Amino acid sequence: MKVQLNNLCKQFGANIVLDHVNLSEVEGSLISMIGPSGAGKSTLLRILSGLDNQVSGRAIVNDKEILFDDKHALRQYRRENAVVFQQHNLLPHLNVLNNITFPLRHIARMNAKKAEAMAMELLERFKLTEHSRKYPHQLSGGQSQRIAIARGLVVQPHILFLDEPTAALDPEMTYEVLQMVAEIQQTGTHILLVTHNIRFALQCGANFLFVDDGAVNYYAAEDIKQPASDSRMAHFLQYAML
Amino acid sequence: MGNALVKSQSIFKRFSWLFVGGPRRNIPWPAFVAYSIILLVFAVLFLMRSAKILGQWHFDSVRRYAQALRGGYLYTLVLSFFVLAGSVLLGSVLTLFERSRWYLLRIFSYWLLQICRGTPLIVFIVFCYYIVAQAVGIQNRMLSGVLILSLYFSTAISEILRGGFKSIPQTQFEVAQSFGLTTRQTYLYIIVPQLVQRILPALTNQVGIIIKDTSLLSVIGIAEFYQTSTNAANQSYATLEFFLILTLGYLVITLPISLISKALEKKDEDMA
Repeated sequence: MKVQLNNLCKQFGANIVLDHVNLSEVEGSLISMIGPSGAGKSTLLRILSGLDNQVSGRAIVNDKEILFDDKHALRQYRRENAVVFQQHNLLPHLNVLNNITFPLRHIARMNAKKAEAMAMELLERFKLTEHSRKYPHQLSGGQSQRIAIARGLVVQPHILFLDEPTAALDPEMTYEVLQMVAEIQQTGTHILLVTHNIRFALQCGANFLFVDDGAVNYYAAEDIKQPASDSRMAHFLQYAML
Repeated sequence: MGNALVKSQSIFKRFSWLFVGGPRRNIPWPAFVAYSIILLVFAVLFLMRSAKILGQWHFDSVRRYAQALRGGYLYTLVLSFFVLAGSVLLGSVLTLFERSRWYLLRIFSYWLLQICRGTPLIVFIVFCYYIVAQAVGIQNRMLSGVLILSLYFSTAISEILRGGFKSIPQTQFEVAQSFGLTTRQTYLYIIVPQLVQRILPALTNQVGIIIKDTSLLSVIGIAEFYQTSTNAANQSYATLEFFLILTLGYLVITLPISLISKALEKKDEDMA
């Protein structure tokens, strides 16, 4: 997975979140975005996943520019990737199996049987089959996040975007979910992850994008472990317990 | 303060064998049945005393007006049905107005809401019938009545719809977007199913309100249940009997509706 940003600007009213951001091509199978709250990590993730197109500048992912002005192309781009949000991912009026087969049935126009087979295969892989007939409100936070990730995987996305998937979970559920993320990264899925759990990202061999003060900087894994020369980075990492 | 609470709780415990009272939430069904029967007995005794003052029971009069009463009852049900349909339709339109980009529509819905909330329904009916309907040129009384009530309740329905929309987490829209769904698909498969589920309790409550408030259409001369019953009561000696039938007539519909509404509320709580 490759990401490159040219003069990317994003502002909400008077609040400039990304200020002429330039990022020379960054490569990796797992890229983790870190930074202080409100810095723009989620915003950048939204832009890179095609959910937010009110931006100026260019974003180039996997050698293809995201065409912010072309609604059709943007929708197509969204269909190629998958996003998992912090919470409320699952559709509450459908059971787990129907939630997972939803993108297959409505976007890929797959027939129900084939879709269910694919969904069950995925559930078996992550040992979640016992929940297949349950409804989201009957699941724990960790279970529903893992199902949401499974739903992201079922469409075989080019990139799986995860926006702080464990922020609303307690430590035990966080561990469950992160285990799953580690596993899918091992099997080759490209992941863009916004997280506060830097240690986990390091374990998985991530490369980092540090988002702060309107700017985005790249740090390889080694740079994070060394004491940082950048004072803002140092200040941010001091609580990371690495 | 805490001491008094403990004391009162122990007093309750001492008398619990008397089945008098208990913790706030669940009334054990035997107590509910027993006390309801006791209240019913008192009510019946009270009514009989009232009947004795007026002479004796006059159910033969009731039989004479049975036809008219049945017609009135049916009329009430039919009116309620059309008012419900109309108010849901107009309420949806009003919700669209409220979410519109055009100031005129938003301000129109604001004022409509203020007027409907701010005037008693009976005033609204009279005003709309004698003034607005004449201006618009609607002659048919039933049509006027249905339109007036639909307009009045459209505000309540649009409030319900708005509340339902607000209760859907923003993330659901983003999930739909991330799938790459079109707007139509988003609303059809994701928003509307959730919306319907969430508004059902409030909506069934509104049904009960509509049924009861159709009785106010009597002031513009629509011969629905209230009108026919009170006419019958005034034209005969059997006032008590007719009023009893009138009350029970509405209760027979509204009690099941409120039970359904409660059941739906519980289901909603589980889902949340």
